[in-house]
Amino acid sequence: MDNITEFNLPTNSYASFDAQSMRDLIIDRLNNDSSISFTDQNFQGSNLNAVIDIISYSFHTLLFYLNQTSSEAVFTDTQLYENMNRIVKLIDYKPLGKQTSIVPMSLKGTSNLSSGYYTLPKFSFVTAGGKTYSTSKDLTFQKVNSSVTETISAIDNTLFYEGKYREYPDVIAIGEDFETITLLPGDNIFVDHFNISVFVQESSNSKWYEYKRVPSLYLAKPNDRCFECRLNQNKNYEITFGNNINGRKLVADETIGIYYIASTGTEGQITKNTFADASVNIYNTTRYDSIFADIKDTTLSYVSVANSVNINATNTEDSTLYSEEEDVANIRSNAPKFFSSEYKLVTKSDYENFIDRNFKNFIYDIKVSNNSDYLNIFKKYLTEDLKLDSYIDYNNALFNQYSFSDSFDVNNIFVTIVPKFKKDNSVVKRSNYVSTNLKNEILSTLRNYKLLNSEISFIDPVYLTVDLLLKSASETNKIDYKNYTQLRIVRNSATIANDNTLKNKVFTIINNYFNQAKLGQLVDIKQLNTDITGIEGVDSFYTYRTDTGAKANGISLGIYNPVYTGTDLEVIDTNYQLKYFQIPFIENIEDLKNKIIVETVNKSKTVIEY
Amino acid sequence: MAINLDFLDENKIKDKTTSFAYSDLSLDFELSSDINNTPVNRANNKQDVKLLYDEQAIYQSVKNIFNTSPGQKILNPTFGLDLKQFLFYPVSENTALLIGEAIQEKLPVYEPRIIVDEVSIVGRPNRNEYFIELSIIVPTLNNKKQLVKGVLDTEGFRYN
Repeated sequence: MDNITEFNLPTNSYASFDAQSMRDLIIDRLNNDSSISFTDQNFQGSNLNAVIDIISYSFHTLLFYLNQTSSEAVFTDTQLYENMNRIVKLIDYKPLGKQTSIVPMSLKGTSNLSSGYYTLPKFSFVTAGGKTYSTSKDLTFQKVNSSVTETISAIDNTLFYEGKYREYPDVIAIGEDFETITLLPGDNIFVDHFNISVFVQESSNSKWYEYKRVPSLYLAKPNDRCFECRLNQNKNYEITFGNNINGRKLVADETIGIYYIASTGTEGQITKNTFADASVNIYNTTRYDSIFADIKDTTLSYVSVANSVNINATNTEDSTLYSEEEDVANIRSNAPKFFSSEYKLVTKSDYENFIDRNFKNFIYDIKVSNNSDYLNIFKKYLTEDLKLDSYIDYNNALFNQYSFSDSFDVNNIFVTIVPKFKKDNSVVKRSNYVSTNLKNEILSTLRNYKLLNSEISFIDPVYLTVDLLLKSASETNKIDYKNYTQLRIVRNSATIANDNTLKNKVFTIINNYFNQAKLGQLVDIKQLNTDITGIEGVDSFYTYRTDTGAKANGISLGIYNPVYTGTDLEVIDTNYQLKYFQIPFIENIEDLKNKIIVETVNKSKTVIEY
Repeated sequence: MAINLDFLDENKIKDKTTSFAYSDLSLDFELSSDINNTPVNRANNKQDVKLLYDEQAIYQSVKNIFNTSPGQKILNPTFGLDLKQFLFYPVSENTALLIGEAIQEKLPVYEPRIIVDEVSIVGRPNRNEYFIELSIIVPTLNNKKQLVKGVLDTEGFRYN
């Protein structure tokens, strides 16, 4: 090297050095510099070599942390929740927090409850076996007959949320613009993301008012009683009020009352009938009683504490699963979608993301379609596949048209939602629709953000039954063939796995696949075939017809709308794309399991085991 | 773009000890009267760290090899003889043999400048130590045969 002062390196090359290359570079420079009197850098045992190692490794470590620190400031690379949360705050993204389990309750009025309309006040709760579920809204219902016990039909949806409402200590307002209160409920308290209620005792008349939670204060009018709520980088909720330009600004010394559902997490999940005619309790505390006196609708007849023992609740379905807060990967995936919509609903994905985010606790899957999809796909399905020539023949479509479409009926946005509630009975499963009240709630929320000339309507999902079914090319489509179709698994004679194990594994693959099915998905027969072939001990498998003896390699399925007994039957032995409103399910799990037969093939003969 | 470090250019002062084959840092960090170069902003009473030359450099290297356990040298994790491990064995002829074999096999691998001519290990049970005597040849230093003597005890290996 002629000139020691000239480092023939680009200025940014520091970033590409690791410990080894740094060490090699130092040694190389020492070797090539005649003005430096060291030679022992080349010998591993020398002190100089040890010093070079230390310098190189320190450099490497520093660079690693420099790189990490740089990455942590970048949306696409950050790995720490704290950093991701702060980065997406710049675009006003509000990460989802923990979501408690939800269950619909069937309410019954005892004979002691006289006939009439009643309203169960919000925050009421039921308790049984150490589990508590609470309502988040007033529930109005009608008892038709006095002196008899009867199921009372609620006018609003009767959803109960796991956990009990907790009262946060009084907070006194300072009276500044965008006043923010950080909710610090204590360690190991899981606050449900969707159930934080805020009341303010306003100084002008000392009355309590309920403040509405809004997605963003910047969309609020000057005097709107509203707040926005954001899960911050420490996973605590920040409640922010307005500045009299966007949302009402708090006046100094006003009292703020905060209530939230404290979930017990996964421990609170329940199976059906955990609550069997459990008495309803009315939530009351000294402060809430005075809040309730100010906010209650005087036109309604609220259920009193004394009357509440005459109302019983039963959960006829399993609760939804408790969900953890969004993690870094989820935020990375969801924040750009949110950012692209900017609180305006224009594209299909804007609608899907908005509804999914704001009703995440109810929704398993969602698809949004436009008029063109509606006519070309949905209507075509009704008229050509199901061969219906009138809406009367398809009640759900008629019902949704009647309830949600406007008379003009163009520029409609059609929303198809699969609820989160699990239905394990096939008859219930195929009519697992979002309730009218929830549809109305979604509609009213969307109205503030949708384009003025878009009208929102709903298409209930079409549940399609999936079963093993094989037909030959000459046969017409008939669902009866499913009764003669089996999936035969040829067991490798060398395997130690027994028949039942193989059968269960095959069944689990099919069952899991359809349990996780989504609206309009590709039914990936190739993947199913690959997964089954991949089971250790499976030599081969085929679908078999017991009446004709026909067989086909791999799996052959029939997929059809069970309400119309197979008019739209499709027999598929290769990948099949469902329409956007269709979702498959297995109608009879036990029946399907029984149709999986394991055969053992020996060298010269086949033994079929039933 | 390149980085210029001008001060290095100005201060190329040759070490006065120029007739050596090997030179290493003495990590005891004793001050030397020799000056190799003058960094910027340096005070007038210039002194540099002490260097080790030729045989001394090799002795230092041998000592490092004896005292380093595999894994200690981050960028060469297999490096080192780890003679201290033998202190957990009974002081016996057999252990001495193991130490001798380790030195004979591995020392030339880690220190290629030398040829190990002879190794003598003497156990001193009363003092829980071994006396190690090595006869080494350094080809680049005119095949001079060097006799290296040291003690291996709980403090590690050190020259007598």
